Amino acid sequence: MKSFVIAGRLIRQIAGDKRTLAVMLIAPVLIMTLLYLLLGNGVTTARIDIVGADYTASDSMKEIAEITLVSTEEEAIDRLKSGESDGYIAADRYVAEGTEPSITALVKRAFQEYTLEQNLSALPAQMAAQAEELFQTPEIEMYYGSGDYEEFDFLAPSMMGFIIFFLVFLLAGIAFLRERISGTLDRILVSSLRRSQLVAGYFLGFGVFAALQTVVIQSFLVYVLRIHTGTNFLMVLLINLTIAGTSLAMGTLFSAFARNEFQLFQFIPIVIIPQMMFCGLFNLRETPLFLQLLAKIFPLSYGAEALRKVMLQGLGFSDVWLDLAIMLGFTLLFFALNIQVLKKYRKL
Amino acid sequence: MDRRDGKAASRRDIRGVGRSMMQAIEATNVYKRFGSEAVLSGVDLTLRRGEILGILGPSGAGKTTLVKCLLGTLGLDGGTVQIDDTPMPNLRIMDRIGYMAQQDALYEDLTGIQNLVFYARLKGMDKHAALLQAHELMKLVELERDENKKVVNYSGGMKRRLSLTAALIGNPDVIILDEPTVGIDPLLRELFWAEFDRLKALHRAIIVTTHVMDEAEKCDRLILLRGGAIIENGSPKELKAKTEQGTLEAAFIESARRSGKGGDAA
Repeated sequence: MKSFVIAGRLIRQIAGDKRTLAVMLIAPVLIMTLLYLLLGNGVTTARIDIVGADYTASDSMKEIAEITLVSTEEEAIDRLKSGESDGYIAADRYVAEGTEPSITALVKRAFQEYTLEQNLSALPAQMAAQAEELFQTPEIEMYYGSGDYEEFDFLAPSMMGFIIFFLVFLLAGIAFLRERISGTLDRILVSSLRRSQLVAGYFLGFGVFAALQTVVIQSFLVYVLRIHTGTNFLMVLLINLTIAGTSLAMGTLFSAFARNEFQLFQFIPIVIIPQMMFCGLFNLRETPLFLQLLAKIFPLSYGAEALRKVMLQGLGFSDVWLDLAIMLGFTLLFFALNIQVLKKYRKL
Repeated sequence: MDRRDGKAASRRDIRGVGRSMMQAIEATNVYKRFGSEAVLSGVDLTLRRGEILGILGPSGAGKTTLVKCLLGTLGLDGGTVQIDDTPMPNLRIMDRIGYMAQQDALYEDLTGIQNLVFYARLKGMDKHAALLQAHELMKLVELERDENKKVVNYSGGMKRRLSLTAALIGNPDVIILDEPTVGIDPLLRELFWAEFDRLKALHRAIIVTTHVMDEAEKCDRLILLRGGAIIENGSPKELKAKTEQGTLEAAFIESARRSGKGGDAA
């Protein structure tokens, strides 16, 4: 019962503080929007110059490159240096600008398309038609999803998990830290409140806000950005609450090792940034084994994995229960450590 | 969960009167170290109901440490503390202690009344009784017009008053106040001491730490703490009678010289 008294107070504190409320509810929407715009408007065509040749871009070339005809190689080099083109073709020289790998990849595809077209045109008409058939791309079916997933669709679940993790870590950590430094912790422990009830109260109070965040982010993804989020909203809510629980347990525990807000922020590079790196932003399949093992000690990697399974693959509880159980294990571990640390304030 | 409403509290008061001969607090041979440094070395004290005990000593003498040891929020390295014959720490007894620290220990983003109701409910009061008593206490310290203001907008003196009421909510039998009047004006100090006397008349056991001599005069009994040990113990009258000048200040200085302990040892 006393946990509810603690939770009620936390809810009253956050609800009465418009800044914190705005950070919790508007910041996720802002981050998601930016990510959506940036990822949705990435570079999809290379800009290629062709020196001294007469070339008309085919339809398949137009999809991957924007072709400009120039008269001398010097002109092509100038345009490459000034950033007007990403590469050029001069007779048998193929030159790419070469700094940004994703653009270089596009340039390579354009060069291949160009050589293919040149080679085909050198063949007699009948053979050319046959050769073109050889290069037909097959019809591809997507096992999961509808096949029109874009980069943002794939990253949105991980980002949602990360945002909730990050904000709950900070806000709960700071709230618990203030409890220590303002002396209110000393005072509330002069009562029959158990240490476990205190920490449980924090779980309840911040759980309410994590749920609210989930509703806001999920609605925004579904109704405004109109991306794929699966249909199992309750499952997403359950996963996010588990993420929030782990994050809260970590935030309140780490706050014990900080003497002020700034010292708590110093944990961000150590505790938060790696979680972001390992939550699905990068595919770890071909990384060294130690990195893959390292990811396993960061709770968010399980939460983000579960979110992707539910939101992208449409899987259900039977496929994510293990991820949830592992996070629950982390949470209980941090919870128990925190109660131990609180012994410093009252043995009982 | 032991819920307490006004009726139960008053029943307990009557019982308290019946038990007033019993020691409310009994500390025996209390030792406390921080690392290798001894902060308290063998402190004994007793406190009856209806008595105000002053703990007097320079800063660094170990007053706050002693208070926390009595509360049970700091583990002892030796000795025992009993409240109402129950060894501390004890969660049930914790609800019957009112504590005011040197820090105000208030939630600045809540209103005055929200702070009080929160602390009252932690002590097991139900919402209605908590609200009723919170209003009553706010009136007592003349904060009733500011009770719905956020504490962040309170002045220093207002916070001090609210902090005192937060220690008094829930009708605690034992009230422990660590430097309650530090940094407040004389008028407010009058108000605080009037309140302490009222509580004393209600058979509450009260401990006040201070380093102000004229405040010490108002206590029933005094303990002079220096370097983590008690160097003098008695009523203000007894202590003054021991010196030629007849002041507490002289009593303090003389016994400090006798004990030969350094004041900043703790």
